Amino acid sequence: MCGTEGRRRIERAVQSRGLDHIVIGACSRRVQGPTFERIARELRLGENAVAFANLREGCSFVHRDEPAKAQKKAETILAASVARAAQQSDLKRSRTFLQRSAVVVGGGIGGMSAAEELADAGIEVHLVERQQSLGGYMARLSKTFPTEDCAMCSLAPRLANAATDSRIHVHTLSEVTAVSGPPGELRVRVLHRPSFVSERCVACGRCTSACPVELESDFDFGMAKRKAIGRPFANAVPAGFVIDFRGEAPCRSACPVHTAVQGVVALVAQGRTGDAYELASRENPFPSVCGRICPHDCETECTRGRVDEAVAIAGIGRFIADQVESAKPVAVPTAVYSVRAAVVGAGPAGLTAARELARFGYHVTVFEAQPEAGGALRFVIPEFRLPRELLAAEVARVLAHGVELKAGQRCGADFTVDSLLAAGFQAVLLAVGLQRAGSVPLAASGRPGLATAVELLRSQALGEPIPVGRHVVVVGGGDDAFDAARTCLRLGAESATVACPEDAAELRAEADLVAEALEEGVEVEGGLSAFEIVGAGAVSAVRFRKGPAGETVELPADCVVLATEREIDEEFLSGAPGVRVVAGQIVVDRATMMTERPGVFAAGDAAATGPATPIEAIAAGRRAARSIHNYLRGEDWAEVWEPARPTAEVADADLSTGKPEWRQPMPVAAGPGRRRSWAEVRLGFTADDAVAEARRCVACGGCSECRSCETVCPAHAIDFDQEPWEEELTVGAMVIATGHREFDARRKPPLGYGRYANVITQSQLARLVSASGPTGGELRRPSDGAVPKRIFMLQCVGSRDQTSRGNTHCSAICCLFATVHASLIKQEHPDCEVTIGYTDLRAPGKAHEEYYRLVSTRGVRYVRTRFGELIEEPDKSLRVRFEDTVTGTKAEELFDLVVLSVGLEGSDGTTQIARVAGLQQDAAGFLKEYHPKLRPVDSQRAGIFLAGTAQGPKNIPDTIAQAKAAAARVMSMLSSGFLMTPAEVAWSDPAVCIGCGVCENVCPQGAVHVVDDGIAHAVVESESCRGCGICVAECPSGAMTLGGFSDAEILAEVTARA
Amino acid sequence: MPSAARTGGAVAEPERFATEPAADDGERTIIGFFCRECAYAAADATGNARVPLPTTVRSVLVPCTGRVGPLHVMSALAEGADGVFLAGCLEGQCHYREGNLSALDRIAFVQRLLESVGVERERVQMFTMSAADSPRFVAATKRMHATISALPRLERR
Amino acid sequence: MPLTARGREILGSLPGVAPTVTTDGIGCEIVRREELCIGCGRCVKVCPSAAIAESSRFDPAQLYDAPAGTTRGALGAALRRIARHEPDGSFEVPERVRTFRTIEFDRTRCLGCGACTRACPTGAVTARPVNAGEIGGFAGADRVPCAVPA
Repeated sequence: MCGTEGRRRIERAVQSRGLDHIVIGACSRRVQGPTFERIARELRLGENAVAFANLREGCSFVHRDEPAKAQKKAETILAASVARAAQQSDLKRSRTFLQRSAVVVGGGIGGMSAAEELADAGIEVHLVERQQSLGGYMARLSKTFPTEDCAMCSLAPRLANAATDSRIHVHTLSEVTAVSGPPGELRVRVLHRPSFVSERCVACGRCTSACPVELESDFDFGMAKRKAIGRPFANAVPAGFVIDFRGEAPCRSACPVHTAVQGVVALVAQGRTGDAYELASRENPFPSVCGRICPHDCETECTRGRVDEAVAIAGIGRFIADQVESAKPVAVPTAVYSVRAAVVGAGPAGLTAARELARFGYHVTVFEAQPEAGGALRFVIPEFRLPRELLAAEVARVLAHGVELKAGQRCGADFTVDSLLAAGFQAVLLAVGLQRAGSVPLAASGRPGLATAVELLRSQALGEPIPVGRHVVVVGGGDDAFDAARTCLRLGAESATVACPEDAAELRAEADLVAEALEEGVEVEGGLSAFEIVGAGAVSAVRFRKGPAGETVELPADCVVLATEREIDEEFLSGAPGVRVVAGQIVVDRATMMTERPGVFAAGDAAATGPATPIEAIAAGRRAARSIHNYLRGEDWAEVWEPARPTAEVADADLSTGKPEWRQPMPVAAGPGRRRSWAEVRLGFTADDAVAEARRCVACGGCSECRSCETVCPAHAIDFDQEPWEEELTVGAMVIATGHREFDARRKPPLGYGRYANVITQSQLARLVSASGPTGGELRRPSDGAVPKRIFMLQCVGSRDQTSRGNTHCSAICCLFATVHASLIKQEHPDCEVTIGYTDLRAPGKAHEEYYRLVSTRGVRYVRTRFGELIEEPDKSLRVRFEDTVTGTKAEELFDLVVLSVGLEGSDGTTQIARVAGLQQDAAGFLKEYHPKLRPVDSQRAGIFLAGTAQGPKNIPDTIAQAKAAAARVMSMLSSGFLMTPAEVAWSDPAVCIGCGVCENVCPQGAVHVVDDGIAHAVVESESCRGCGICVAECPSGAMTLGGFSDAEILAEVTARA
Repeated sequence: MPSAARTGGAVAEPERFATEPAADDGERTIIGFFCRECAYAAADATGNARVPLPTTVRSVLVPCTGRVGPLHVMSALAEGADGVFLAGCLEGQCHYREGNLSALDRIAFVQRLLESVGVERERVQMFTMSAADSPRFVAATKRMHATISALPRLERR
Repeated sequence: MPLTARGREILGSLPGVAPTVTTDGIGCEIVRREELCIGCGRCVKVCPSAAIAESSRFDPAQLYDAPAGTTRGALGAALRRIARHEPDGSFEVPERVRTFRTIEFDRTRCLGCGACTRACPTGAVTARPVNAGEIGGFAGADRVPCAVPA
């Protein structure tokens, strides 16, 4: 019927009798429907003129043993089709213009082959690849079967072609994020991620040498390390380098000063302590603070802490700070502006601000009330926590920036804010800190034997004599209290007791400090409140109330130190009209840190933050300097609050499951003798310990933002300001060639992958035998670098698997993959024994069987295997137990190296594009084709085609063939320049439609919209409509109908069939 | 050729094709609405494999089971079918996103409607399958045939 | 009977509506004929006081009296042909069936603005004029005045 004779019959019948409908009683409409529809069109019967009765697959084929009933059923079916035909009416089709362009998703050999073919046909191609270079999987192989051609040699010309062909637009570091619109006019949204390297890069490689961060190389399947900047292989396209930035490391995000902590640690790991000091002091002029007195939030957030223990960042920081003497001399900035700025207070906030302002190019003068600079670091923190000489060296470095220091000058007495402004300073920063002891009861002040912690610590720092008595009680529980107690011991007291309101188990003070204090013999009494000094004249005891019952406790003492919260000393306010202090803090605008007096700023403990840690004061000083800079320039040149990038996240699955490595403990001076010594208690890491500790960092941010690359790049190509950006491409069609990923052999724990060093995959072996690989092509086993003498290759890992831990399909290439590697190894190492343990040897492709036979004659041993067990020996060799299923014998053999031939699955990129483009995947993640036999290159969505291992496991020549087939499909679709929309689309009658909008909600294509041109009614975009009819079934008014499947047609068929 | 006739808001009365009514030989009639993408493909594959099926089932091709509404199912029953079933794509695999899920809900609705007037709800069912799954299509067909054969013929006024 | 203040306010905000507040005691009552409802949901969308809501249930009796020539009418006719007894009450409707749901009307929330009457495409919701004498006391009455002119 579908042949020429049948066609002639139809023609004659239609023409001689003037027919307008045809009913075909033959095979299923799905098979030859288009044939008859074309005949009807050519006979000028229009669209929707044919009705089909499925007499074959639906009747005669399935009712062969009931001929009488089948006959009756056939008559009914035919009758129904005739009834339907009577209701079928003509349908309109319209033309849509086709974009003569395409997007190819995936830049491997498949994607590049399709792109080339399309470009040659004159179709503009956008090749979108999510990694930094084209090449895909093939670039990582060594030699390919069955010809033993070098993969890169075959690939390089394709890469060069893609790079230079002007009709192919290559977008790397890019992903497709949305696909909408009808075939012929697909709107594809592409997200471009930044490389942080501009086009000026000449790939000289100096940045790679300078980069301190070592990451696992994905390109080498984890068999080697690479730096955070570079390119995966020499022929990479595009040729420029890329910085692998995964987000801010959590340590950097946690640091109030935003130090590039991961970078500092990486530099220490490389032994580059000078560079580490430079980096550590880039934002923070007092690296001595890190590791000595900072509460190290960086350690709390350290990703390594999720594996075993956080990296001892504080210890490393302290080690670097100690290198200050050998650090590079300060680069003195040139004063760019003839503008003077004054800083009141040479504490951490003030000196940091001064350094920043000097770097901006201002003349800075710092005024300090005490005879020396340092602020709280010098006069509150005792020297057994922060050595004086170290602090002095750091202060000297700050002053070396051209900052002038005027010591011994009190604000409000020796000068005032007014006088500074009158003297020509255009900005004043008040960083006066909290100088007074707070809430000292009147009854207590001025009494002999009584002191405040603030005064005690300051006096000791100034070298003034302090009578401490023999038994000291310190009232209060913060860090200051413990500092005061330990200071008293060193000044000669016999005992020191800290009496605080908190429970002894919940002290406010830092745990490390408390532990050190206890080791030195400081005692702690908790839960005490409402103190009262006992003794007329000289102090004899302190009385407290304890607990909820309020029982009285008396601690004997001849000296009482009040360690209350420190408070602001308002002396500086005189001569500073317009500056206000409210609730003990200078009032400032949170965004600009300016007081209510223009040009007068405040930062540090005294303003806005309240008493905080020194590192936060440093951060406040930096912010104040930037704000002052903006104020002096009259424009926002600097961001006051430094913008942060999103923090890097490392999935648990990516963290090593190897043996835990505990952190280096900080050596501490022995306990009891310490109490009389002013030397530092914590002794610090040796250089070797610091390096070993730094090596524990997992580099979670990728690039650490240390900027070493920027410093050395001769082309000034590094650009950290690049941002991701999106664009929308309008193209006619898409080809998906997103490739595959390997089965993760960790899902098969008995094989020891990920635990035993000498169990690797074929891909990893490919890198080892590849001349461009990490060993330069020398076959070495991972555990000790020895040349393996006995190798076992296990096939079908994760493939042909009926359990839920693997895939059911055969991955097609693994038998030959193992064979080619075995062949290469035998050629280099003829005395190496290679055993391939296979299930079935599958070699279906052209010349594959012949290749396998050839290799088996070269001494490669093929054993038909059922795998039993794999045990790691103490020397990391592997004992494998297996059964030879041909001879039926069990064997147990020792091997130096085991190679797993893991199967293929759909890649992550494939899953993503499937989600975005609405395509379906099978259980293993491969994309589903429209029809597995008859339309193997079409996806289920019109205008989108499939190629390569994204559609199923296959080797390189098959990938190329399929890619070119997909390109041919695109060409045939786009060749006429226009597309006829299908006839079977939905249509809404505006006279009946009530505009309720139910159709718009249910349409899966988003092809229906309710428009209001006076009357609200639904309109279907026929190019996008795919003719499913869901809207028709929902329509409550009956306005919506589907061409070819109207209610009339369906009901006619149903009625006659029932 | 008649142009598109749209009788606003009304459903055109289906024309009955004149054949003599089939003798009541106890044979049931089951109408199956099969979606073009999956179920009808599975049905064709079953046919190609020459798997014998009961003759009670008459298939109606629809682009997606989402095209089928309560009206079509109920009309089939009213016009002579003893049972109606829908066959569509597997949940999550409908070629038109979620048409099969709408169809499943509509079948549930029709079942409740039937129950409310005393008609057995199992006369109306829906099955899901993939295009390659001929055995599943056969199972659905046979199950429906068994269910309906066990019920009396549906009487209608 | 004049509108409530709130009713007047809302009516004033509807486009193209001029509230006619009569003082001669003529008002309107909202009347619903569920058998004419096609389930389009427009009345639910326009009601300003949420007096109309789509329920999760459907009453099959609505199909029986639906007019011939409509989808519901054809469905009702088909159902009647095979029914073994009268419908035994409403039932829960599955989530994705949106247009077969009985509409619930809460008289106590009705403002009498008549928006639903204007929105309904089939006349399932209409306004019936009533005399002042019929209305009686406003509070608790089961008839509510409406501003739609008689």
